[in-house]
Amino acid sequence: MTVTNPDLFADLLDQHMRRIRASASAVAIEIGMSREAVNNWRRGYSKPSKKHRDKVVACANYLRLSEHECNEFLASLGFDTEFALYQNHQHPIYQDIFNRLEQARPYPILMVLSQAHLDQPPQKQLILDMAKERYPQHRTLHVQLPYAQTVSLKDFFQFIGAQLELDEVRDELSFEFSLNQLLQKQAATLVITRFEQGRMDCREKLAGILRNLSEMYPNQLQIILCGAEHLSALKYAQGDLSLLNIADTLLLEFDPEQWFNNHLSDQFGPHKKAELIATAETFVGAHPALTSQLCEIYNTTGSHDADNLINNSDMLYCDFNQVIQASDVHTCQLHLSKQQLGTYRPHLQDDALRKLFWLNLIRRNAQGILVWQSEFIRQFGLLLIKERSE
Amino acid sequence: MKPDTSLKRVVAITLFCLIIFPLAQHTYSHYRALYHNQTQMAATEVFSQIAFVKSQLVTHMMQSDQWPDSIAVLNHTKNQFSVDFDLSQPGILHATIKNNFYQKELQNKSITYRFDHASKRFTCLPETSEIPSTFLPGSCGGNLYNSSGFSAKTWSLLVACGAIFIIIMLAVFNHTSLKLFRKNQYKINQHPSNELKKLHHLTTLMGQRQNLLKQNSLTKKHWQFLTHLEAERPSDVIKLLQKTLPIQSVQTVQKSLYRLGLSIQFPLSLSDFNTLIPANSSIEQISNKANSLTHDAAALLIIELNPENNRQLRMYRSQLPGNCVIPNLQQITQLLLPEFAEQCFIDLLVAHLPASLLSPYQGKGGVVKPSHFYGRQAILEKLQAKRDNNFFLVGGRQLGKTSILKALHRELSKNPNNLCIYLSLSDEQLLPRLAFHTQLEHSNNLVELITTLASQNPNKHIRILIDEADRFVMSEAQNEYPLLNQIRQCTDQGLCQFVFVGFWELFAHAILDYHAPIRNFAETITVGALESDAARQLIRQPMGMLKQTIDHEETVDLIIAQTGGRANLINLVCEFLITQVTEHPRIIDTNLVHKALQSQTVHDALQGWSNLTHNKTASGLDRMLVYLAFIYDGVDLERISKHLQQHQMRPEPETIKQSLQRLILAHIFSKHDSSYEFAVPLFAQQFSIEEAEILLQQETRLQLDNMSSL
Repeated sequence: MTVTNPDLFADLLDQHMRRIRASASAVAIEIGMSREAVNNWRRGYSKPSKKHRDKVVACANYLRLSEHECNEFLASLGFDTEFALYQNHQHPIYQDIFNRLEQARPYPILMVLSQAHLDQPPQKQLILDMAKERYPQHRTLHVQLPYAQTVSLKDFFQFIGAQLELDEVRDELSFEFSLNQLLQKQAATLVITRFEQGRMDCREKLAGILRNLSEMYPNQLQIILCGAEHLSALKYAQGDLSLLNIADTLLLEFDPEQWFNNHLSDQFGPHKKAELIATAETFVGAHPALTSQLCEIYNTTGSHDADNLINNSDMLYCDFNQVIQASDVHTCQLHLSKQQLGTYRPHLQDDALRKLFWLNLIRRNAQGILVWQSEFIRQFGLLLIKERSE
Repeated sequence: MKPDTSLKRVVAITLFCLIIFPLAQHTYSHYRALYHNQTQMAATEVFSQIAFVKSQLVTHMMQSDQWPDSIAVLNHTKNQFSVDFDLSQPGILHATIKNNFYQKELQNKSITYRFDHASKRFTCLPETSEIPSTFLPGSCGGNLYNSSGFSAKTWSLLVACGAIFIIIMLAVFNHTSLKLFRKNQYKINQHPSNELKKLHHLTTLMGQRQNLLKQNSLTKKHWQFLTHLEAERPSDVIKLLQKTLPIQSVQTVQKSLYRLGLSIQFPLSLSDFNTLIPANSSIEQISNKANSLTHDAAALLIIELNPENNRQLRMYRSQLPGNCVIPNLQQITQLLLPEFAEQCFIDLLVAHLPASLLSPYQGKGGVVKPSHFYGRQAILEKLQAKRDNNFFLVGGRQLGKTSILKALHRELSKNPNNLCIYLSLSDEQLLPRLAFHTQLEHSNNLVELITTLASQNPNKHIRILIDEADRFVMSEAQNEYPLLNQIRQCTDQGLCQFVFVGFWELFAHAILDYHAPIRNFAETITVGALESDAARQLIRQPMGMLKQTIDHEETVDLIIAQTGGRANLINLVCEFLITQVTEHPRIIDTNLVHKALQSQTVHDALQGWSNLTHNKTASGLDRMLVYLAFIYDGVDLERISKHLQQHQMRPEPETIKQSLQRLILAHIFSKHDSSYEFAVPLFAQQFSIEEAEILLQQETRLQLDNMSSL
C-alpha cells in the first residue's frame, strides 16, 4: 500500500485545481464540504479522513482527473485506489463496441455502461484512437460532461461546444444548429464520457438534441455514451429520453483472470499464478479495484493478505454506506442475508439492489443470477450493519 | 420481344447462295461460250437461223395451211442466211450450210426437219443429219449445249463453297457466347466482362446488336464502354457504378481506391464501402493494399478485370481481410448493368460478409429505408389524402410512429408540389428550429414565418411534420397554447398542414382535456401493433434477401404472437436470429425463435415502461396495475379497487381510467371485455409472481409514503 503523504496530496490538489482554474469555493460546493476545509487540504493544514473518501473521489471527478490521476490522488492519502488500471492491455470487450455500433445503424448510438471502479469508460483514449482509425472519414470528437451541478444551461453547452470545436455556441439551440451544420458536411463520431455527471436537465437537453440530429441525419452521427447507474436509469427507468430508447447497451464486465494474466509479475510460475487467481476470486470475486490492489500486493510482497485488505478497506466502507443511505438498513440486511439475489435485469427495480450492483458489490454470474462479489465482502457488509445497529 | 432470327438468317443466306452461285456460274459459262468457243458460236448461229425459218414456216402454215415451195414465199432471200433452205418436198425442211461458212467443219453439211401438221411442230431427223454431233443441239441427238452446263468440277466447287459457308454460319450460330446469349433471353448478365468484346463482334455478325441494347436497356455508349472495360480508367468505372447502384457519394481515397456512400434506397444495412479497381497491379500489390485497410470497418469491393488475377484473388481470398468482396468476371458484368447491379451486389455482400453486418432489421428508431417499411398503408393514405386537416399521431414508445412520419415525408417529397419539413422536437422550441430548417429569419410569429415560407414557395402545399411533440404540447398547455393558436390560424388560412407525433402528453391534451383548445384542432390517429400480413412480410422478406430459411409458417406465427405484433420487437427478434445463424448456420426453427425471444436485447426493449408520464403519482399507479397484472395474469377494475382499498388508497376514478388508457396506448395492456391483459405475451414473462409481489409491495409503500408526505 502507498504510504500517506499529506504534502503530496496538497500539492496534487493545488496542481489539479490550477489546471482547470477551479476555486476552493467551487470545489467545496460540488463535493459538499466547506470552503475552509478545501483550503486547509490545499495548504496541507489538514487532510481528508477515511470517511470522506467519497468526497475525495467527487473532487477528483470535478477536477476531471484521469483514472491514473485519480488513483494517484487517493493513494497520496493512503486511501484505496478507485480504478483498476488496464495500462497497455486493452479491455477485451473494446473490439465489440465498434461492431455493436455498426450493427445499430442507421442510428448508431451505444451506451457503454460500467460498474463502479471501472472508469466511464476505462481507457477512453484507447476508444478514441480506435474510433479515429476505424472511421477515418468521420470527425471523431470527445466530450466529457462538466461535473459541476451549479453550471448554467448556457455554460454547459458552451463548455461542450468548445470541446467539439464548434463555432459560435452560445446556448443549446446554437449548439444544435452548429452540430447540424457540421453533420451536413461530414459524418461524426461522438464519444461522450462520464455522461451521467453534472446537471440532469442539461443532460436531458443534450440527449434531446442528439436524438433530433440522429433522426435528421441517419448514419451520419455515431454516439458512444459512457456512464453507469444514472445513464442506465435514464434509459430503463425514465424512458422518455428517446435518444436512449433507441440506444443499444453494452455492460463492461471485469474479468479478473484476464487481469491477473496481464498484470501479475513474471516471477510467478503458471501453477503459482493459478493458485493466486483462485485465492483472489474467493476473497474479492470480480471486484476491479480490490483485484487491482490484491495484484499489487502479490507483485510487491509475493504473498497475499486478502483478509486484511477487505477488513481495512475504506472503499468498501464508503460503498456500503452509500447503499444504506440509498435505501435502509433493514433492506440491506435482508439482501446481505441471502447468497443469491434474484435474476439480473437491465434496470433493477429494488433501490438497494440497484445500488449494490452499480457499486460493484454484487455481480451477475454466468447464469444471469445476481450474486455477491465474494462471501468475504458479504460478511464485511453484515459486520458493518451490525456495527451500525449497535 | 424480338424473336431470334439467327437460324432464319443462316437458312436464307444459304438458299440465296445456292440460287445465286449456279446462276452466276451459268452466266459465266455462257459468256465463255460466246466469246471463247468459236465452234459453239458458229453452231449457235446456224441453228438460230434454222430456228428463225422454222418459226416463220409455222406461222405461214397456220395462216394458209399450204407448204411453200421456197423461202421467198416467206419474204426472205437466199443470201440473207448462212444456210440454204430446200422446201421442195412438202412437209420437209432441208437445210444445208453454205460452203463459204467460216466454220470449215460445217461447210456443206445438212440437216432435215419434218413438219407435223397436227401439232404444228418441226421434228429433227438426226439419221439424215450430216452435222457432227458436237454441233448438234440436244433435240437433234447432239450435245451442243450439254457441254456448256455445270461441269463436275464446277459442281464440286459449288458444294464446297456452300458447305464452308454453312459450317461458318453454324459455327457462329452455335458459338457458346451466342448460345448463352439466346438462352438468357438476350441478357448479357451471364457473360464474363472479358468476353463482352467478343460478344459484341458476334452479335454484330448475327444482326443481334440492337436486340442486345434493347433487352439490356443499354445505350450505344454504355455498351461501347463495357466492351472496352479493361482499357477504361478506374474513375470511369466508378462513374458507371454510380449509375447502376444506389450510390449517393464518391470520395477518392487513394489512386484506384474510392469510398462510395450508399443511399437509403439500398435495402441492406450498409451505408458505405470502399472500392478498389486495381489497374495493372500484381496480386501482391492488391493484397498489400487490401491489408493496409484492415483498420477500416467498411467492406472492400475489389473489381479486378484481369481474368488470371481475378481467379487468384478469389482462390486466395482467405489471405485477404475478412471484409473483402471479390466479384468474378460474370458478376463484374452484372455490377455494371442497371438491371442486375443491385441484386448482384446484395448477393455478393451476403455471400462474403456476416449477415449480422448486413441485416436490414431495425429494432430501434424510425425506419429510414423505404424497403424496410411494412404495412401502415391505411394510416399513410389517410394522412396523405386529407391535406387540409391537421393530425395527431399518437401511440406508445417504439411502436413505429416515427417510421410512419418518415415514410410520409418520403412519399410527400416525391411530389414537387409539396414542401415537406420534418422536425424532431426534443423540447418546446418550435419556432427557432423551423426557421433554421427553412433557412428563414427567426421570427416570434409563426403565422409570419409560414406566410413568408408560402410566398417563397408559391403553388406548393406546405406540410410540417413534428416528431416528439409531447414536451412542446405540454409547454403549450402550461402557457395557454400561444403557438397552437397560431398554428390553427395558419391552417384556417390554408397556409399549411401540421402533423404532430407524440405519446401520452399529446393524447391527454388532445383527447382527454375537454376544454383544451387543442381538442378538435386535429384528427387523431392511434398507432398500435403492425398488421398481420405486414408483420409476416417484415419477417420473411429480409430473411429471403439474406438467404435465410424459416422452417415453417408456424415459426413466423410464433414470432408475431409472442411480440404482440410490435414491429420493434419483431425486428429485434429477427436481428437476433440473423446473428445466431451467422455464427452457426442453420434453418430458423421454433427452438431458435424461443432463444431469440428470451434474449437480452428483446428484454431490454421491454423496459422503459415504468414512467409513462411525468406525473410521478400517475406513473406509480401504472406500475401498481402492471404488477397486479403480473400476479393475477391480468387485471380488472374490481381487482384494482380491492388492492387500493386494502391499502387505504383512494385515487379518483378518472385517474385509474387514465392509467388504464395510458397502458393501452403504450401497448402494454389490451382490453378484453372487462379485463386488461398484457398486449405483448413476452412482457408477461418479465417477472415471476414472487418478484411482482415484492415490487407491488414496495411500490404501494412508496405511494403511501408520498401520500403521507403530501
